[in-house]
Amino acid sequence: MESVINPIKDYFDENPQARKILTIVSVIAFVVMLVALGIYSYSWNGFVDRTVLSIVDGLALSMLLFLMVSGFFLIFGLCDVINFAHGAFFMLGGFMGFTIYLGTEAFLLDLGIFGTNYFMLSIVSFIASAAGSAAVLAIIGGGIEFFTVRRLYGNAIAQILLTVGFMVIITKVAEIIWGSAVISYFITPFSQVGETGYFFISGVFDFGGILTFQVYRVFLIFLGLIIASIMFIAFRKTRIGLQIQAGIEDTEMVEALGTDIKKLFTIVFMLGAGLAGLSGAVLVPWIGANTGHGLTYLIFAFVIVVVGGAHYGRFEGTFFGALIVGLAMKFCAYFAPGLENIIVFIIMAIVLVLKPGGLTGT
Amino acid sequence: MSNEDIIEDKQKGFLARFTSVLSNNRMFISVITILYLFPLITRAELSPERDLLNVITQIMIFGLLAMSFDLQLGRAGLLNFGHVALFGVGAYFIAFTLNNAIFPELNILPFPLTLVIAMLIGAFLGFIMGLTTSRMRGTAFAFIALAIAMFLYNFFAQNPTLSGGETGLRVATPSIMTTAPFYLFFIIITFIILTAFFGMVINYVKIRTESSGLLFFVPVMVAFIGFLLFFGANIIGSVLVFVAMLGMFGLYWMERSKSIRDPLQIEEGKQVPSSEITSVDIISKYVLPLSILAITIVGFLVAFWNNIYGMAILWIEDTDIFLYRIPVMYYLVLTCVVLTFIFIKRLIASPFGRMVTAVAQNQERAEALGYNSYRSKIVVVMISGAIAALAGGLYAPFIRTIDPTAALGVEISIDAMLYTIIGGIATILGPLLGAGVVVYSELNLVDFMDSIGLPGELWVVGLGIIYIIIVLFLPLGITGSVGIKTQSLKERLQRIKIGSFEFGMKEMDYWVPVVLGSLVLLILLLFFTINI
Repeated sequence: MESVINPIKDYFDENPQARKILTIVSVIAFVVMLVALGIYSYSWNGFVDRTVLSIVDGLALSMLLFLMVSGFFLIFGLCDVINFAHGAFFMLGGFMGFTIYLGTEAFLLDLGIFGTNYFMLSIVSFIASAAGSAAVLAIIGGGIEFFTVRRLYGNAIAQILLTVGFMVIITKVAEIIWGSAVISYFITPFSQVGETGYFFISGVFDFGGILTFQVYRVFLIFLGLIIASIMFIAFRKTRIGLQIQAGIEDTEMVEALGTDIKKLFTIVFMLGAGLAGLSGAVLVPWIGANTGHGLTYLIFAFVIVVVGGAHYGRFEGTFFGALIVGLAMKFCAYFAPGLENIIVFIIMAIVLVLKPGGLTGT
Repeated sequence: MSNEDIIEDKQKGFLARFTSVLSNNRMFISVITILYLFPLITRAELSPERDLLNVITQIMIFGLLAMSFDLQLGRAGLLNFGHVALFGVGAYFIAFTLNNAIFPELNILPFPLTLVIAMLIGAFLGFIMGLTTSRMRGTAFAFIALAIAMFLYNFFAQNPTLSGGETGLRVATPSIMTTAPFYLFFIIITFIILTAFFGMVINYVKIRTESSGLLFFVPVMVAFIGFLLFFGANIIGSVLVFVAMLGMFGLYWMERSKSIRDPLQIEEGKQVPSSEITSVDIISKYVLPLSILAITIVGFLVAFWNNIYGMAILWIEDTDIFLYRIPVMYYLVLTCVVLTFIFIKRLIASPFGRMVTAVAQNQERAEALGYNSYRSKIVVVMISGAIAALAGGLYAPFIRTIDPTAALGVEISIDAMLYTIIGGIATILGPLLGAGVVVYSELNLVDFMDSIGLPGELWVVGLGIIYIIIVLFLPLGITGSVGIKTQSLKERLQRIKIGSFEFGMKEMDYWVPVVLGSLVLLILLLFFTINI
């Protein structure tokens, strides 16, 4: 009796809702697109091009947002802490990624291992920056949980106040070191030390006209999907993932069954902050590291968690939420630039009116 | 006081109860007296006092904002990160009424009326925010409100025609603030409050006939005489107040001899036949106190006459009208803060306030007892929204140029939260105190840090660390922690003795250190301002 492990099939069997949600997601995205079009499209000229562009950009942004928000959601779901410092973690992750990338690159150039093979050099530096940023942020997040948040479990407002304090501190420290939100730091072929002038995915796919994709955004889609599926499988198949999922459902019961819930909380905090660091680091070549990102992306995280299902919601809700928000934002960016920053709140209002618990919530 | 007495007292009406209202709120009256008295020292010229007045005005505006924030967080348990939206709509509404470029038809409204309309708008936005409290349970309210605030921010940031674009929206000074009648109106209020304060002092002198009573009212009078000597333009004023102090000695001596003659004060309550009222009684009861009061007020008027006259004459001469702006703004904000303070104090003590606290502590139980928790939350958010909009409406003419970041940035919500937490959550005084400490240090420490070669923003990092320590270890903030500490101090003060002399400081004497402390604090602040 051999049964093939098929998480996706398992998932759909367990959750007949999921198909319905997928339909809702696509309907909402379609409606938003149509509304944006109706208001702002001046001509059908280039409609297909812009649609394709916005889909690619939107998917890339969605994956990035999903990576960040899943950390936020884990902390919120398991520990019941609304982590206001999450945006700051994300922002700090960007700067960490930037610094580590340049540092690794300079170090490797000094060592001369790769010689003139700048492609390998760049890839190694990029991996080092993503991993290093995730590790640094995981340590910071774990430390914050271990020393401060741990004292305040059960006091929701005090936890929020505390994490806001960390947000202020991290943002201000970053402003002291890297300057105010006016300046963004990018990893581009021209921002680097030495004579390399190379970034391993800096090219564009050119299909003529305005239809050019930066390769990095396509890469981000795949990276996000890969990490999402790794997480998805890990949550279904590993022991700790199952514990976390069970903890989100009913913390007390998991504790009663013999899990060291405090250790689990610390691990989840580290995981959440690490994901924020990772997503911040992979953002740098595209949108750049900026001290103003802390607050902006914190609000996106809120909106996505509310849309996906905040209380008693499911992990997958954040994925759909991220898809909706990312696609809607990029559609608006291409079809209705005035709406780009407001659309997320409109989406949230619609979801709250129609389904107060979010898409997957009760 | 027995129950019947209280009921009888309440039936007497406000004017008859006035003396007891004064005696019950000695500390409050002392503080507002000194705050109202302070701008009298401004002359009709540019001087360092004006800088300090400006700083205190800013502190009071943010204190107002923090008070409204604390009404939600401390009383109703609602953490509202979109609080700045309430502040911002007030600020933008007032800006539109004072700027003739965008909505010229709004300009005809008188300024006080626009403040009231701004409060109504704030209450309406609060109503919308309050509606969402049912949609999302508990802490999730924080981000719904934040989303509303961000929506407003983006709306204004992306509509340069509304927000004035890059340079921001220019807010003209309301024309009423540049007129002498408005200034004189506040001066009259100041003198009314001064009268109430010295009436309270005289009443106190009559009651406090123990031997230590002298130790309490004399330092206050001496401090006021010193204040007049130092700041007053005319020495006759301080001489008059000195005469009033001698009169107080006389009153004290008369009351003391009466209390020694009649220690249980039996005569006080009895209906004494009119034939037995002696001339001494009439003197100690009516003539002497009223003449002391009159002499004191005249003394203050004489001492500051040059300043007041100098300011008032500006209007007739029609020159340098802008000199009115700072003291009038100060007075306006101070009046708003005092009224809000009284309002919140009464609101919390009212049955509605109790209900709000009950809902915050245990919503299920409050609902089981038959209270409508949803409605009480909405009403609290509406009241808080009105106060926040008032703060915003005062802030717009104060800062004179507003842009979306200055009026609607989420940083303002976070600042209000910092003030509240540092000052003390669920205390009325705490938010004001927190705003005072943080704003004043922010204004001065940034320069200080720069001067010693450290980045100025490091101060904010330090503030964040202090804030985290307070959240972790002192959940009641400065005011709450000090309040707990003072309980034992009060008992010790009551028992204090020097030799055989019994000092015995009672609850009724605490206004004395408050008066002296706030005078000293103000003078110290003035001294620092002049030096810097």
